[in-house]
Amino acid sequence: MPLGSNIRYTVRSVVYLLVGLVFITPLLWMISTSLKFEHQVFERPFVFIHWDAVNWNNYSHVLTGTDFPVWLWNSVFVVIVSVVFRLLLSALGGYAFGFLKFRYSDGIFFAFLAAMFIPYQLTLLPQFISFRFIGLLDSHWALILPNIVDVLSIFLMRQFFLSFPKELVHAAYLEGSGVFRSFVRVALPLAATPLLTLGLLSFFMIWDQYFQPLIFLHSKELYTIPIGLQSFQTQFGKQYAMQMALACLAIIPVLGVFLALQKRFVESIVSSGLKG
Amino acid sequence: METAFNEGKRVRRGRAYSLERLERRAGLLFALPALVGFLLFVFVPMICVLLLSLYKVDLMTYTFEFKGFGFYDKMLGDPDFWKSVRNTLTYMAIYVPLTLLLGLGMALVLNGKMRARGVVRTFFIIPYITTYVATLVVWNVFLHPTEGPVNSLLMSLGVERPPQYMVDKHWALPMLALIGSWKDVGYHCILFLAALQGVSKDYYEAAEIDGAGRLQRFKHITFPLISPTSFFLLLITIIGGLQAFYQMALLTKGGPAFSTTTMTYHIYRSAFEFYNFSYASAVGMFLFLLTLVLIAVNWFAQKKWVFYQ
Amino acid sequence: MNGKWSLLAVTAMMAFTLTACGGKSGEPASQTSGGSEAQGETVTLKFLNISEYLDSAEFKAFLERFEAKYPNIKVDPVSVPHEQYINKRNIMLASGEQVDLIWGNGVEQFDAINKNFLMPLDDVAKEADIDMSADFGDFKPDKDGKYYRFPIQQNNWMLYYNKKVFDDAGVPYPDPKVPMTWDEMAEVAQKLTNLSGKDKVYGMFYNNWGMYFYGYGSQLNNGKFYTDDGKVNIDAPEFKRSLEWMNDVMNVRKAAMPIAELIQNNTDFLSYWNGNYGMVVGAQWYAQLAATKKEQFPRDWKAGIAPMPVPAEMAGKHMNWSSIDSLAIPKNAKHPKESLILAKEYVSDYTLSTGALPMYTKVTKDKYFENLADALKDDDITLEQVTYLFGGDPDVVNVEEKPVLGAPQEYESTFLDLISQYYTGAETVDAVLEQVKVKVDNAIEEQSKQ
Repeated sequence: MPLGSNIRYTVRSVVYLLVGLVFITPLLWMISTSLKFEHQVFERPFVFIHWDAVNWNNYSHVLTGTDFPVWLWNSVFVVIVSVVFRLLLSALGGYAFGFLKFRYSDGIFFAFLAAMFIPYQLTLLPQFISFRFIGLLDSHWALILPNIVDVLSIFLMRQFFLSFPKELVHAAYLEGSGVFRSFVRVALPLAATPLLTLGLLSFFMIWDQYFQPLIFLHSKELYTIPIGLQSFQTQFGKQYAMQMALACLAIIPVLGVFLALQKRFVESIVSSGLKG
Repeated sequence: METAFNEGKRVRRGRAYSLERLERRAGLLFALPALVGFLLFVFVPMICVLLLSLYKVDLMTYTFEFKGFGFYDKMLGDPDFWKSVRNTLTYMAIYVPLTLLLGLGMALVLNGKMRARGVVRTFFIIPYITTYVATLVVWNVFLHPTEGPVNSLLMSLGVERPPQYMVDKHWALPMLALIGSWKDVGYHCILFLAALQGVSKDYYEAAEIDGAGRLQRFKHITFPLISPTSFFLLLITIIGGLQAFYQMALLTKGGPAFSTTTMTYHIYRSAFEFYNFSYASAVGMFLFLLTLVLIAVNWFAQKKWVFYQ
Repeated sequence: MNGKWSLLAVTAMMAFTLTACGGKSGEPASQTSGGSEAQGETVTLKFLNISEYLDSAEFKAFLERFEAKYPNIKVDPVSVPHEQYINKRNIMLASGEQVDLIWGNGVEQFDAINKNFLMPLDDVAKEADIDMSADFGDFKPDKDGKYYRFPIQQNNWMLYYNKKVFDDAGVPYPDPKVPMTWDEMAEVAQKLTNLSGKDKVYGMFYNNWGMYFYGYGSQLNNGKFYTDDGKVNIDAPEFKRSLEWMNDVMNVRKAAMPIAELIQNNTDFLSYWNGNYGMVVGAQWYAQLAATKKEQFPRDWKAGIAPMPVPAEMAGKHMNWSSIDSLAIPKNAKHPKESLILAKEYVSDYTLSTGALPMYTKVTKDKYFENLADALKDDDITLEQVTYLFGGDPDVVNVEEKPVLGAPQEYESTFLDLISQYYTGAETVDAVLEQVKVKVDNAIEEQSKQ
């Protein structure tokens, strides 16, 4: 019996592993193709990697022939500044709406929530017009500013602080801390886990943004990765191996961040109030 | 501000109500950045959109002409608009259930006994975190009609005329929904997994003693206990489905034969390609209302199935 | 105390960020407006054009020459890939951003005229010493007797062929003077096609552009894309015959790439130079590439040129799909005169330097033909051929390349969106043309109301 169930258990795990691999086939194919020569892209029979003739030139070509390093820097800058301010705003807002409360705070919060349902394509044009007036067009701030206010993030932080133990904060008051100080000293450290999760989710989301840079930027030296990638695709047409190399490069930074933090990321979702 | 942050002494001395007052005032200050941001980047633009939909505007000279509900009339009489509504709903009909069920299924797998859980979990989540534009570049080649790996495989399996995906008006939209699900399902998987891990083992043990089968246990224990998460994800998925845009913009440009022009893409094209911002704003307001209605319906329907502990 | 300071710090940080952004991009804006106020000071012109032109080395060289010649005019080029061009143009104009000069092909520029973006040039032209009715040869006013476009170049279409593909298939080259008929071209294309080799060779190359489908019809009915009352005429029998011809080549003879593949490949006209195609009907920029970009598109085969194919009814005639790329000035531009000066230099200096013949008659044509022929001499192309095909034949019959009058942008994009359904076999040609007509008629009516 134990032996039989052990085998079943292993077989099942192998099956799941295979399912997982099938799930990411497009990405495996991307890696494989990025290391091939153009004429091998659709070869039959399919070879995953030609170990004896790996073509690294796609990568060197992409790195030297495009502005990838510039796009990367721009993406990193935009994402990090956006995320930092978004977290700050969400923590403060969440604490205000969930813990401190103020007059009409619940009503105001519901107005906030309705905003979650506004399609972002809709507000882009008015944003565009106003950015022109304050002279923010064609600058990274046009991407960053709208990203700082994220209703979902405020909502999730509010959910977290709703169930935050009053006693902890009150104890801090008794020790002589004011509202802000007790927020910084007591509430914020305990909110580190949901903030980390939010930060990561926001990181992935903002890293992905394509529409905003498409509309707000026109200088090529300000391009972020998604828009750079797309301009490359139009420019180089049917050079699939190179397209795949660039796609790989675009994914590596986020993948790196994710793999480095994945354990804490998943755990924090489990342990925090972010599950809804 | 002075009083709110004249901390320490007063709090210690203060009675309950003054503490509350202090917190209330501080609360307003804490919320201030969010409120200002909200006003600037959500509320004001939204009012602008509303106004845009009522006026005919020449933005180059800033001349306005009041049209009342003229653009809404035009929208309701426009077959393209109704096609875009239908396309959005079709997209949702595939994307919403698929993403939720797949996410739940994957979470159940990860929650069961297995080896290499971490690896499988990583595989499941990877599409979610990868850059959308990059994955779409990959999908575009992956589904290449004559030479792509998918159709090569189909042809070697004896399929004579494999589908042409992005160029076939019957295939394009379902494929885009499928790609959307593939991309987003990782998020659902983690949240479901989190909810599943929050379900206490005691319930299952008790149920097992009662002789409940696997399906019964899912129906009576697991499902109710993860229902708040399911509800949250349902809302997120509905919004995501209504606002789907990337695949259309990058893979099909709304074609072929308008078959993938969803409402968001219709808004985008009307506004930016055909320069009809007022019409686009009217469609946008409609989309906003449709979203509110769908959310409201689900909000009221949740009483029937969502179980709060 | 501590808490208060931290809050202050946070507020200060946010305030700093906000001002920082304000300051950063406030700069260029103030520069432009400042220039407009003061007389005689430097004027900065924002020039919107496609990246294919603005990012070229030739353009950068031109800018240096231009700014040396006109020290008080600075040029701020805004380059956008052609694919996103219309959207970007609309956004920039809609936002009220100052744009001084915009590029466009026929469709794009008439779209701008219909949408009331542009300034009539007649008066400004006089100031800049340009005679709109005389300096561009046979160039007619665009709308209501007024000129809105400053023409750059007239497209000259011809047949390009790959001599190696012809040799491999044992087919004689096309006649350098007498055009093939479309039916002959279909047959030749079929003979050239070889799909069994390592690289598929198609007899004919095409792009997902309208004229490859309806251009034959335009030759038949003299570019009658609109009925007399301004409605869509794409369902006319001539256009249907044209579309069916393409279907015959693509799907029956299999001498051109299936449209599904073409679309998914993002195939653009540069692909022709990879050598796997026998023939293509292309405009002068094909030759510019062949002549000037050899290191970018290396090839081991020789290119040939011949007049573009014609319908059997027009046998022997030298025909051309006429379409004019042009520059135009948005109606809210602050420096129209300087913009026209830039336009004039752009056509007479830059355009010529890229190997295209400007319509501006004050440039000498002979030198241009000689230079181009010299650049193409490796392909055994003669000066006589170049002169005949690149704009030197006074007897060429011009017909409209694309519909440009009513709702041109909607016309083109609706047509291209729907036409794939015919070529993939999902719908009949009649059904597709009917749908195009209904939809575009609608758009035309909408626009006439405005």
